[in-house]
Amino acid sequence: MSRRLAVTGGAALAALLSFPVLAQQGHDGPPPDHDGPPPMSAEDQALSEALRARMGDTSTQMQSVPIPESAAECGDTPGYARMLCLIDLLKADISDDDILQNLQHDYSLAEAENWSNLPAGAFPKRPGVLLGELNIKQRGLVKAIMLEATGHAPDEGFDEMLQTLNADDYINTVSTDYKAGYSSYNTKFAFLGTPGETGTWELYYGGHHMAFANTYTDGKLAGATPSFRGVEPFPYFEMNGRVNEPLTQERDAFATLLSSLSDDQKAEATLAGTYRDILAGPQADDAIPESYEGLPVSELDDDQRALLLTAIETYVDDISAPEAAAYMEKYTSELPETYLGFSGTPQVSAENDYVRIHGPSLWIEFSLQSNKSTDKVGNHPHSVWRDRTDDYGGQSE
Amino acid sequence: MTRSSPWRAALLTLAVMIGGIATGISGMGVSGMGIIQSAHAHALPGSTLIFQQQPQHTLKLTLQFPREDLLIAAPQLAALGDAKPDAPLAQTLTDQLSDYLNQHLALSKDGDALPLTLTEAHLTSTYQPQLGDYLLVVTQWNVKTEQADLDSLLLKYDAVMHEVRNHRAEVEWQTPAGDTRLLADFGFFHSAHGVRLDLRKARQAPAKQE
Repeated sequence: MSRRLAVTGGAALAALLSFPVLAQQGHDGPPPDHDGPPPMSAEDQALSEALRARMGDTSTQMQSVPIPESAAECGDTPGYARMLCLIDLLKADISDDDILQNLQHDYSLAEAENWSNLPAGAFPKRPGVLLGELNIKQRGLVKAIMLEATGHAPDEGFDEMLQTLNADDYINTVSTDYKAGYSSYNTKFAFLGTPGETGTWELYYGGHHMAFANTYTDGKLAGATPSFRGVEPFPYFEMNGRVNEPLTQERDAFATLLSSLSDDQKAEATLAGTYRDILAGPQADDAIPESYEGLPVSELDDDQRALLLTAIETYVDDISAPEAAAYMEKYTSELPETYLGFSGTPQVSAENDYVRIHGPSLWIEFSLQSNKSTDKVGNHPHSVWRDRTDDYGGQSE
Repeated sequence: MTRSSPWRAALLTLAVMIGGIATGISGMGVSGMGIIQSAHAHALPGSTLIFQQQPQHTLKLTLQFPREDLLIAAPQLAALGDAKPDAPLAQTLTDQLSDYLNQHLALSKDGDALPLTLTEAHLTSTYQPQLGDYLLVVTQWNVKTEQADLDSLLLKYDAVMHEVRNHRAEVEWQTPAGDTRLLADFGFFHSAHGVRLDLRKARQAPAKQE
């Protein structure tokens, strides 16, 4: 089986390479006959230069950063209390006032909305401290904090985020795009609001192709979205001593679900229009329509509904298990009012392929677009999980 | 290590190859003369509409959007794929572009449609690091108003986004000093009923923060 696939795949690759018009051209830097990029605004230029100046030790990647022994002071019972303790350890370890100031912000919705799919240098308004600014021990504490907030399943949760960081280390080996640097250390970490038993704060972790935004109010998770993930290369690559395939589970779950639909169901699920990217991406918080489009989930059989829930779990399982279970209970109860839509191919493997799940609370989008940074033929995904009732923890200002 | 198996890896390899081939096919824009254009990696920018006050009860509207997305939304304008940047468009092509935009762009005041006249259209080359090099379609319009300083307008606009659903529109007011103030920012699902533009507020607001 695998030998036949390999032979078929080899033939496909040979055909691809012998048809050079299909090979995409790289986009590293402006074309030779072009004057180059237009200048950034003065404000963005200053922010970008400041970011470059801040980048520090890049010798140890998050993949291999150890969690320091001092984390044991916070006990071994997972949960919110341990996370607060780890946060206190991190703050206590930072002596540089500038770094502390970048780490700890006041909460505001406007600040929380400063997330992006772009690399840090291309979106300098992200709040937070760069991972590269922290020393190895402090990065280990960041890892420990994130492990409290995220799921632990392979290729989901923090493991998925590590692989997304590894993707930037990979891109750094093949691309000269973004002089600010494709690298796992070029990721921002911040507390928006003061972590504590009362009040509202957001655990902000964002970089290229990644936005994690857990908002807590009075010691409980008030919202786990917007949650953006993307990756290039896709569907897998080797970097930092491992095979990385973040978001492959998401794509496979959607492809399996769509392939299970009958022709009539596929026709009903097909969305009008072309989707070259997701709708509800960064700085597009108003993009989710009030009306529903596609195939009502109520028309799926039990097996198909199970496949749909599997697809949803690949997003919800990015947060810690008890909190993920609560979200799954809510989304399962809302299935009768939820819709499935797609555009493009049900294999979810071609450019502009797009899948959406839209419910009273739930909004998930998965979009494939052509590669940018790796000079390799293929596509890479952008994907977002939103919750229409508690995006940004339900905060309005 | 993740839970890959050789069998799964082979499947994934084949999938990315097929995906790559599909990308090559679907990502190509075949223009009128068969010129093949590579697709851009990330979504291209949306439409930008910039209003400026002109003498004689006239507003000037500059509208621009990426050519690549327009050709997906309006394949009848495929001849634009052969047009060169920074040169006048052929009159036939300008007329076709005007016909298309007149179906997707309208302005009204208190229920009365305001006449729009296309005064100029051309392509221009631009570059963004995350997008590479791409072409913009730039059109200039005159909007006749009955008042010297309108306080508000209703904009109906769904060019490109009627097909390319992730395409958005940003509407700005440009002061005589060249400052811009954001009037509206919307996508397809908010375009249907029109977007009210508060010109009085824009005239008085501080300059838009970049």
